Amino acid sequence: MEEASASGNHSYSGSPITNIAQDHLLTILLLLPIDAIFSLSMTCKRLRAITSSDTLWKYLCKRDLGSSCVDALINSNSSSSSSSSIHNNNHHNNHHQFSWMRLYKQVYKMDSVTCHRFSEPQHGQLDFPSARASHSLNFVSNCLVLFGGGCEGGRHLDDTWVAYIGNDFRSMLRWQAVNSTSPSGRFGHTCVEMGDFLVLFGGINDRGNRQNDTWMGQVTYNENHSVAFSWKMLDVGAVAPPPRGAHAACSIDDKRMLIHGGIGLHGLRLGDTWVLEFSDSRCFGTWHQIVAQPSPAPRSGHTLTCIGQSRTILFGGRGLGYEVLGDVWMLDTCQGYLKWVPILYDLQGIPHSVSLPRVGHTATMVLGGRLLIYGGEDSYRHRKNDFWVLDVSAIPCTSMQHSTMSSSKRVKDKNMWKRWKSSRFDRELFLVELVLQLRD
Amino acid sequence: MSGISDTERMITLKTVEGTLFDVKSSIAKDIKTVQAFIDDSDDDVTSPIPLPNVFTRELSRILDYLNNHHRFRSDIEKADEEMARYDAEFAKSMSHEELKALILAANYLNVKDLLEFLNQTVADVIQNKSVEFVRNFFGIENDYTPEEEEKLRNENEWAFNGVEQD
Repeated sequence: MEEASASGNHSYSGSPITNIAQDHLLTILLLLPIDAIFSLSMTCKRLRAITSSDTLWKYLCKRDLGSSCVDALINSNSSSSSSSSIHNNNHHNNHHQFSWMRLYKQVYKMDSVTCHRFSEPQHGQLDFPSARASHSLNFVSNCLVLFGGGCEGGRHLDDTWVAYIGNDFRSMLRWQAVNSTSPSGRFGHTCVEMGDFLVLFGGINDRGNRQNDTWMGQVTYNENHSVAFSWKMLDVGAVAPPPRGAHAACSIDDKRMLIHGGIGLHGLRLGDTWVLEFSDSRCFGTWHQIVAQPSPAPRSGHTLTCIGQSRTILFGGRGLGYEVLGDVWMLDTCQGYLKWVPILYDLQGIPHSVSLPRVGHTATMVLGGRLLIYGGEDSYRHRKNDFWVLDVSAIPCTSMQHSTMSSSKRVKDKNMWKRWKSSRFDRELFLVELVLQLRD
Repeated sequence: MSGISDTERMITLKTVEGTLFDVKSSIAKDIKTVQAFIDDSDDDVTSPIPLPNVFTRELSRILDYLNNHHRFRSDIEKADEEMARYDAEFAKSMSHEELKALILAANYLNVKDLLEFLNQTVADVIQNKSVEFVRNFFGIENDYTPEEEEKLRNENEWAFNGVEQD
């Protein structure tokens, strides 16, 4: 009210809109991508001051990096006795002063990973998981959980291993075998984290039998702080997806599990999409199929990754003609409508000699709204040892204007794909760390 | 419409130009500045409420918007879809000048939903636009020297990856 009357503008033509209250301007700024914020900061000195505020950048960090990451950073800094606390804005040593804009910039420009060896059999150690492939490995309740897979000679495995990690990502893992009922031996199954639970589905055994059973797994801590793990088959009623292995799965916002494709009976590649919903008690589950046109072609060995806000990204895999795929799809399950949208992109700036299509890779959501894609195999059956980053923040949001939503999204950002540098990384178990330098 | 609306109390608003608008009290509730005026008055407001910062053109658009949104909300089935379509049309029908005038009016009148919608509209307009476009849009005087501007451009270069300049 005040600013409107103070400006005394009775003709609106030419009245600078910047007369509106500063917090109103901040609300508009928070709706903008950062390049637009910088465009504003370059218009005049007053807007530069507004767009440089630490408060604004803290909110932008929360918006784009996630509030859990921002909260963790605040806690880690305020709990330590470090002299350059985040809250201390009047720090005399400007050189080392923390700023949210600087953090944002560092995350934005992040372009490499380092890998630490994380697990290694000690000499003469017996309780160590044998070498395997097509197993599942999950991080749940501060523990790594390993299940099944296929060992040398193609035999399936049915062992479960747990290793407590907690906050210590530096020391070697101590694996511990779990003695409990477990799913039958298999490989090519999927296992996803859903809050404190793991949900396992499908897989193939060494007789070629495909499964379609659903299991829940949970870490429990005993009174003496030792770790235990238990599996339980989930009652899903009469309807379940057809048996399969080498499919893709992910959890959607820790509430539902999504699966797509895989290799079904008679070795046929599938292209169906299913969602598993849980009862409140998580004692029962209900599967239902999502029928949508268009939808990704049948495939196996691809990945599904939830990128938040009920959106899931599908990438790669091997198609019906044994070809290796490099297409990207997004499933938006928010607001009750379910739709697969192909994400079209240019590979400008990526040399032709580099092949992006792959199968048997991993795709993990990392800091800054990016999907970190590692390894897999290309169409020449060459094993890849490279890290790629798919910038999902470059993908236009569909839910905003779903009335005008087109059937595909073309990403204009030429940097949607970026290759990241990495230190040596091979078949052993490594911890991958994002390289981020917060202070000079 | 239900029978209640026939007997619903009407409130009269008066713009800068002196134009009078009759508004249902249920609609006036969404205009926080007007509602505050009503709440502060001891007895029934019978004389027109003066709005010294709001012009006829803006008030009539704002009332259009509120009336339509009220109508959509009465039909829950189709509310979201129709509202989205109406909003898209509404945004398209405004010139940049009208949009800015409407923001000032909605800000003064404190109409929360409309303001959120207009903020998003502004954000959509200035995204992916050059600095010069943004300056023109907001009517901002450039107070940088060319050297300062060049320096800023270099500093901020990292953020400009896929921007299409126009």
